[in-house]
Amino acid sequence: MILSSTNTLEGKQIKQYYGIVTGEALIGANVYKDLFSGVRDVVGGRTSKYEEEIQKARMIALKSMEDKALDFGANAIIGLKINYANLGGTMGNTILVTAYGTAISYI
Amino acid sequence: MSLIDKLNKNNKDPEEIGKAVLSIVFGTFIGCLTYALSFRFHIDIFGWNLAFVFAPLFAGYAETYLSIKLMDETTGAISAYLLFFVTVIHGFILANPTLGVNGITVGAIIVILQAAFPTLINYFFLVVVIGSVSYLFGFFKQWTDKLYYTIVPIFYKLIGREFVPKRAALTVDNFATNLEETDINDLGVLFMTTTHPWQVNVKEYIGVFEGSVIIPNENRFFEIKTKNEENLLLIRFQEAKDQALKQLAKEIKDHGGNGVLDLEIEYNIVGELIGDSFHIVAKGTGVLLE
Repeated sequence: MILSSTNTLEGKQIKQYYGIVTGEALIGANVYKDLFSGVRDVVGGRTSKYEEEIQKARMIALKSMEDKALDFGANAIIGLKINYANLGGTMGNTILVTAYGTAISYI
Repeated sequence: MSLIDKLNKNNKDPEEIGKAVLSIVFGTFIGCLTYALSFRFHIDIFGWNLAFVFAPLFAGYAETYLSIKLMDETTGAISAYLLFFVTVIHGFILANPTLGVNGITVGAIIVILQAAFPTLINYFFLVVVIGSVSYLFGFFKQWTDKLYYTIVPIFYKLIGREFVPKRAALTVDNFATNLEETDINDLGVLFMTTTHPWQVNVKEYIGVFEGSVIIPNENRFFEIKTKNEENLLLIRFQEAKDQALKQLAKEIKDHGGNGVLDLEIEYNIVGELIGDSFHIVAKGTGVLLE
């Protein structure tokens, strides 16, 4: 499965467009994680816990999107977009990670 | 290269070590002098002598200044650590043996320790102490919530009234609905995130369209605390996104189109002051494909 944020795949011929495929994942609010990340920001160092969580959420979103594309019989996703939305406020630091793109098959 | 590195080397240079020792002795002397003068002239605030902070500080500064002059490198402000022990032993044991354990003594020791080992003490207070307190309060709240939601409904039942909690937990009943089975790619509109459809001709550009859905959360009705609530919110987002796409597809079909180019989906928060409602928008360029 080729994932590309470009409009087309250079040197490949698009056989069929299947439509949009999406994947989403939420990183839930966690007081301790937030607190420790905040403290690490103050005393220096990388907020590795958040990095890990965001990376995990991105992988889940991408995997979910890829699975949907495979169900169509697609072998690539083009025009791929990944967004991070901080839901903030009463949701604490809940982050929504979304990935979506156009499922295609190429030859 | 620090003094420690130098001492670890097999071929020690006696002259360099001599200069380093001289710097440390000089720094220690300046620190002791600062400490003595502060005590002699009572340079203190509310009875707390500033020498506890300034003596180690001046010692380290003097040592570093001299070592850089002599060796063009620092010795690591060892005299500051020596002064830390000197001030604590003299100030708390020799000069004031009847000080005893009270709030001021504990506070003073913390300030001195903070000056000597800032990272360690900051980490202890900001991470260990605050983390432990947060954990205990969280645990306490969990138990009191459990008690409240067990006992109060019984009381309401006994007096014949309906118990309505002020803040409800996110459940399937009060928030998320089941996702419809309709495939969003089966609506007669081809969704494309690309700006140009290769190998497919665009017969006509119809215009920019959008579909949007609001997930209301007025009065901050729910909070996300558990994994289950998190999953329900995610399902709600997926559902809202599908609804927005369906609206978009309907708009384009109504205008004679059968495809969307440059499709974008955005998730925004609106009305934060009264609650976090979510605004999900699907927008793109409607086209008629051959």
